Order: sequence, then C-alpha cells, then structure tokens
Amino acid sequence: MNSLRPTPPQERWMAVAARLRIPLDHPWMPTRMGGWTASSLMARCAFFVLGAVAGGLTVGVFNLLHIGDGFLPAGLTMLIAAEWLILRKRLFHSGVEEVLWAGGLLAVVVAVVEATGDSGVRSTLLVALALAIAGFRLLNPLFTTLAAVAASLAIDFAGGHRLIGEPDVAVTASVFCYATGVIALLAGRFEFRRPSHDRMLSWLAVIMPLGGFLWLVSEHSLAIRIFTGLAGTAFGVAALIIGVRRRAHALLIACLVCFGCAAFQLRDLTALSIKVKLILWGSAALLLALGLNRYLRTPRRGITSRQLGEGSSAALDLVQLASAAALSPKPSPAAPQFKGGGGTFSGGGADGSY
Amino acid sequence: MNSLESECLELSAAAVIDEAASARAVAQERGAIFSVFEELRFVLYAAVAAITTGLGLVLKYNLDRIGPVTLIAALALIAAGCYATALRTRFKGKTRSLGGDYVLLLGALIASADLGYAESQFHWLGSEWQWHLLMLAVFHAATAYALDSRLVLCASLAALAGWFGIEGHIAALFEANGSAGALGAHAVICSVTILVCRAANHRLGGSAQFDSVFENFAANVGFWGALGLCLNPGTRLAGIAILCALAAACVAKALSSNEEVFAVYGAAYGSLTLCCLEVQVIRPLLLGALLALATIIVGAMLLWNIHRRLKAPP
Repeated sequence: MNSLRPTPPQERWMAVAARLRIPLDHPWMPTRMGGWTASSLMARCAFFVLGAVAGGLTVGVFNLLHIGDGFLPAGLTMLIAAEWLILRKRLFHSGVEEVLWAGGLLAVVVAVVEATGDSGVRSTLLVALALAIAGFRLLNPLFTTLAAVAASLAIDFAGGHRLIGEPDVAVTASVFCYATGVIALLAGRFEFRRPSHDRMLSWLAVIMPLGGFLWLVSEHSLAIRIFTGLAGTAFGVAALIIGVRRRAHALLIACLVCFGCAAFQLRDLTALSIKVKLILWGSAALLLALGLNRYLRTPRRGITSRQLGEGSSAALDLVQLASAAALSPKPSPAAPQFKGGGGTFSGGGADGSY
Repeated sequence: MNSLESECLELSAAAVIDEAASARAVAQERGAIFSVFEELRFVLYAAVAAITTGLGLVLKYNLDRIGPVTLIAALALIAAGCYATALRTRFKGKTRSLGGDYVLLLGALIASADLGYAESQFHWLGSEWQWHLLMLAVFHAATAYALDSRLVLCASLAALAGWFGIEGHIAALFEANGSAGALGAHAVICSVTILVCRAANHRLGGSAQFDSVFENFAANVGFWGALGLCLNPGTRLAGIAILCALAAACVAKALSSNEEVFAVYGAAYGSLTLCCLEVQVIRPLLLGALLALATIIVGAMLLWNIHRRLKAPP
C-alpha cells in the first residue's frame, strides 16, 4: 500500500464520494478509500485559512525566540507537522496539511534566499520549484498553477524587468503563459487515472491564458493589444469547442475568462464612455445568457441549462447569496444635506458616530 | 480527461446508490448529459454586475445632462420591466428560471439605486436620509416573499445592514479611530434583528430556503460585530461573551441540522477572533503569539472533530 498519498483507485473513490455525496461513514467507502480522509470544499477552505494563520504565527514565534529570523526553523516545523498529518492522520486534500506543507517549503526558500542573497531570477525560480514540489507531493492544482505563474515571473525577471506595469514589454513571460495554457488544453485529451492530474491541467488551462493577458495588459502599443486580443479570442474559441466536446466545465470557464480579456482589449474600438460600454456589454451578456438558458432548457446534444442531481454545492450556493448582497448599492450620504452625528441606535447610524 | 463511470457502475451494482442516481451519474460520466447551469449563473451574475456598475456611473456623472426626474423615471421604468417578467411567470403559475432570477435581482438593484438617487436629489427624508435604506429593506423583503426570491432577500438584508451602518464598512473594524466598538454594536444588533426575522419567517410558515439565508447572514454579521467589540478596549468583555455565545450556537446548529457551514463559522470565526484579541492584548508578545497559535490549533481540531461527526462527503 502506498502510504505517502492515496493510490489512484483510492483517489478515484474519494472523487466519486464527493461527486455523488456519499457520506463518509457509508460502509462501502472506508475500505475503498484506504483510510484516507478529505474535507468538503468549505471545510478545506477554512482549514487552509487556519493553517495559513498557524504558519504565520509559527514564523512569528521563532522570530520572537531569536532563532535566526525564524523562517528556517518555522519552515521545518511546518513541514514536519504537515507530513505527520498526512502519514499518521492520513489527511488528503484537507486544506491544513496542504498549506502547512507549501508554507513550510516556502519559508525554507525564504531562509535560503536571505542567507545567499540570491537575485530576483534565482529566488523566483526557487519559489516556483518549491510550489511545484508541493503541488506534486500534495496533488494540489493551486500550487502547480502558482508554480507556473512564478516561473513566468522568473522569465520576466531574466529579461530584465522588475515590476508588473513597467514600460518594458513582458512578451516572453506572456508567451510562456499562453503556451502553458495551450499545452494544458491539449494534454487534457489524455485519460488520467488520478482526478487530481485532470484538475491540475484544468487549472492551468483557466489561469495561464489570464496570466498571459495580464502580463501585457498595461501595454498600449497597437501590436500588443492586437496580439493579446487575438490570443485571448483564439484560446477562448478553442477552449469552447474542446470544452463542449469533452464536457469539461473548466474549459468553458477558460473560454469565459478569455472572452472577457478580449472584450477588455476592444475597449477603445468605439468612443463610448466606460459606463455606456459596461451597460452595453452587460446587456449583451445578459441577453445571450437568457437566450442560452431558454434554448438549452430542452437538452441539445446532451447539453442542458437545467441543474442536474442534487443541485450545486453548499459552498457555491453561499457564494451566490454573498455576491448578490455584494451587488447592492452602498449607502452614501447625500452631500448637501448630510449632517454628521445623525446616527443613533434607532436611526441606523450609517455614519458610525453617536 | 477523467471518467469515474466504472466506480459509478460498481456503486449501482452494490445498491449504494439508487437506479435513478446511478443512471444520472453514468450519463454524466459518459457525457450523454452535461449541465451548463453554473456557467450560465456566472455569466448572468457578471452581466448584472456590469449593468448595475454602469448605471451607478451614469447616476454619478450624468446628473446635469439628463436631469434627475428623467433619470429617476427611466430607471423606475427599467426596474418595473424586470419585475414585470417575474410577475408574468408568477401569474402563469410557472417556476422562474435561473435567468428570471437574475433579471428580478437586476430589477431590485436598479430600484435600490433609483431610490437612493432620488433621495440624494430631493432630500425627502432630510438629515434622516438613512431611513430610505430601511424602506428599501422592507420593499425588497416584500418582493422577495411575493416572488419567492432568495437573491432579492439578500438585497433586502444588505439594505438592512446598510441602515445599521455596517454595509461596506468592514475595514473600519481595523481602523485605529475607535469606531470598531460602535460598528460592532451595530452589527450585533443587526444580527439579532435578522434572527428575529428568521424566527418570524419560521413561525409564519415562510420558505425554509429563506431560513437558511437569514441564518447565514445573521451568523456572518454577528461574528463581525463580535470582532469589532473585541477590538475595542471598552467593549472587549461584551465582545468575548457574544463571540463565545455565537460560536456555541453555531456549533450546536451545525450538529443539530448537519450543516457544516455553521461549524466552519463557529470554529474559524471564533478562533481567528480570539487570535486577534490575544495578539493585541497579551504581553509579552511571545506569550500572545504562543497563545494565538494554540487557539488556532484548538479551533482546527474542533472543526475537524465536528467534520468527522457530521460525516459530510469529501
């Protein structure tokens, strides 16, 4: 039995349990999952945050103890804690062990960089390497994607640029991002035994084209704007076609992201003001979505706009509610009439004073 | 690509899942049926966000050119159009689609912006301008109940939070001007008000889905309020008491209703707030940091134990 992480069949059973919402205590599951336990998306996010805070505090504690600058001992402690959680408690994709492992390795990298005084290129490459190692050790798509993003940063540093938005052109870094996205898109056609490998490619296909766009978004030369607009459109169309064929949600999201980038690059096509463009683009997207929603109510070639199964996850539902509330107009005092200090317990107190 | 079809078939053969679930799962794995519901939801949200942002900018910068009365009338007309589509579906006895939900939300948001703009132009409420937020909250709540919309209920609760003075002011909790305590008190009162609304909804046989919206809002607003009280020296003890009560209530709710999100609220908000407090108050700093670290570990262990007890799917 592979005790370092779940075997591919064990990971597949965990994915099935998540997809079909089979409770963990179902007698069918524990033996097939080999004793490994994972968290739901919501708990994983909470554990990730708690683990990140714990990691930060560990660095702080070692720093206050004056053991070096705290990074090396804290990093090693976090790595040991993460491995203990994985090997002894058999946690997989639970959030806390992931953030401790990646955070620990990054803390070690920071200590090494501080000790050696490495250049931007070398330190960024080290960060990319650390994230890649963490990603493959934990089979975590977030870390592998961040590793690719850090690699693009190292490429830009190697070209002599220091900050995003500086006048120099970061074409090489952008091309690297687009190329990584294309490779992920094409590699997705192979069938993987591990669901996590599939997810790694999905994340790369969504994030890397966006990274490629962001590297050049501040450039105003026509050639670059045409390049990013065309690259975004081409990637979006390819992702749409392949996503529909493979029935892959991630590629459809990649398509939406790329079309958003292309729409942004078309901002100067007309002399319309930003508010009019927002209303026009928003209305166009609304009408398109309403039309698609109606058209796909009856499944077309198996594609439907109806919700399947037991509905979306609790996490997505919460995100929907929170985002609806976030859109509500924020209260602001009417300038000419507003008098500070008007807030009382009975009157709302929007000014926050009493 | 990744297909879990063989596992689904094995589960079906072992009668772990029923035939309908099995057929659906296998069809999804084979790609015979594929839902773009979430993608459409994302596009609809982005569209509504773009339109409302654009309208907000129109209201902000085009006063002189268009004139307030024309703007207010135009926005009211658009909002009425959005409400009309929902009313039409209701009168036909049909279930509103996902698109219909977001058109209704757009109508509610335009109505909010319109009323706010009208108040800022005509000062109907004078120095008590905040009361228009309460009116909006009541109006949206009535619409939410009439048209059975959770999204509009969210707009109503956001307006209510605005009336209490907490909407959009979370960052103020961490400002050093002493406003955290006042903001925290308002947030706690807002949370209690939402809980009263939830009790009324439950008692009067309102939608169970609305109960969940009320509870989630009350928990989040309440915890932010407790954090605000904890960060202010004068209200610290009250803040700790409220924090403990809220965390206990959330954990109890999670265990009784099998809703993991409340366990997350109780453990994560509780431990993070205590952590902030310990680092801020306890000296020497090393002791504070050690205690904070211990608190986070206890919080994570508590969450893990509840997670195991709820036996939620991974």
